[in-house]
Amino acid sequence: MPHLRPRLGWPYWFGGLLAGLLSVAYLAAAGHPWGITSTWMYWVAWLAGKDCWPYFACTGKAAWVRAPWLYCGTWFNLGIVGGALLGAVLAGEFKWRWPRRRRAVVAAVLGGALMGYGARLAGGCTVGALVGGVSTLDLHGWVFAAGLFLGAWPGLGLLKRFFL
Amino acid sequence: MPLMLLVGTAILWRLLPGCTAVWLVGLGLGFVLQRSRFCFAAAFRDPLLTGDTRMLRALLLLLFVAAAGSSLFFLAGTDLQLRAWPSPWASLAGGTLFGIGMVLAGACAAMTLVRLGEGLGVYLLVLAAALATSLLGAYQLGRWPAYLAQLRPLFLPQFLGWPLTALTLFGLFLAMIVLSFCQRGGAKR
Amino acid sequence: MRHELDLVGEVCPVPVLKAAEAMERLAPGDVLTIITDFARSVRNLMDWAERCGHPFEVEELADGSWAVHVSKV
Repeated sequence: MPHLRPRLGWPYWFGGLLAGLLSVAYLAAAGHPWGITSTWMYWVAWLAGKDCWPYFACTGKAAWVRAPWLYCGTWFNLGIVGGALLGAVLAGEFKWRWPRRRRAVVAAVLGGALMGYGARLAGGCTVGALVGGVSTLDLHGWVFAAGLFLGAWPGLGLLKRFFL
Repeated sequence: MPLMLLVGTAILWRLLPGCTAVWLVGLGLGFVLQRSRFCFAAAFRDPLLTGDTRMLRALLLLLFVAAAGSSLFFLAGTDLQLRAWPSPWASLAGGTLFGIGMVLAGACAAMTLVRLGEGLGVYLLVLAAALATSLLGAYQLGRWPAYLAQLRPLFLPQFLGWPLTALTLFGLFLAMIVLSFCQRGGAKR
Repeated sequence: MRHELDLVGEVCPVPVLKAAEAMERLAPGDVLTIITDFARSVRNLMDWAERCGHPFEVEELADGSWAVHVSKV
């Protein structure tokens, strides 16, 4: 189906290669590995006005809670949305859509809830903890990866049993 | 659309020049992930679901390239700030929860952002839920001094030495090759 | 016989899971048509069909979604 080639998108490995290079670019630009969920945490803490919490005070991060827009991670997050938006628009794939099954929404919310907590516990998400960890040669990255494998199995089971 | 991003970049450069670089990296990442249809969740889920290891292999390549590139910085002696991590058990537990969550939501944190860029509104809900439990997590962990006291990296070269660390990285590469032979159905790409 | 599966609005991995499930119930010679509006799912479905050895055809619909016709052999 030659006319579909553009729709298929770039090969997975090519994406992986470029993303890996981008992670190094981030390291070069920021002096520390990248991450996504830290930004989320600062924004929600700012919204809730919780800069005095020990979690932030003890780790020296209270300043970011007071002004998360100054935290560069915010711009990294926005950049990802922007880049994806650009890619979708250029390929004619942007379309605002909502799920039609209530169960799909429940699965999504539950999934998001677990991800938020899991990321706090592990100190990051797939981008921050996994790529950031493994790329900075930290054992935690590998342990996080093992956790992801362990979680995918029951996750799939739950999806099939309750949310399909 | 590209014009808007260009203008946005210029504004950011004026207001927060220090953050412009990572904004650009973010743009690049979002674009690459969207175009290549990359999915971290699929990398861990598809081998269990259909025996398809293509995404996993692409992820291994990503990790290898990222680690190799970063290692160059370490070897060059660049002053880098490593992430502060909790104990490995917390990483494992967090990873497991995250694993369940990303399979249920159909996307991990980065992919949630990418999907939003593609127009899937449900990921606003995913994001909202994740924000809420992030706050909960920060609250609970903050009240647990033992957790906060353990935040430090476990830099592999420090206790394995560089040769063994290099070996683990090559292990990544090897795993990629080996997995390409285990692909069920014989389709190799 | 043609069967249709309307999966507009579903995110992965639901399309492949539901398609595989539906495929089980088809008789040889039947065609399963999956409608989806998610480009990533189109790719997943094509990969799945190719891996299972089912001939398939992808049709782009007028409103920007796709219909993937998979035949059971």
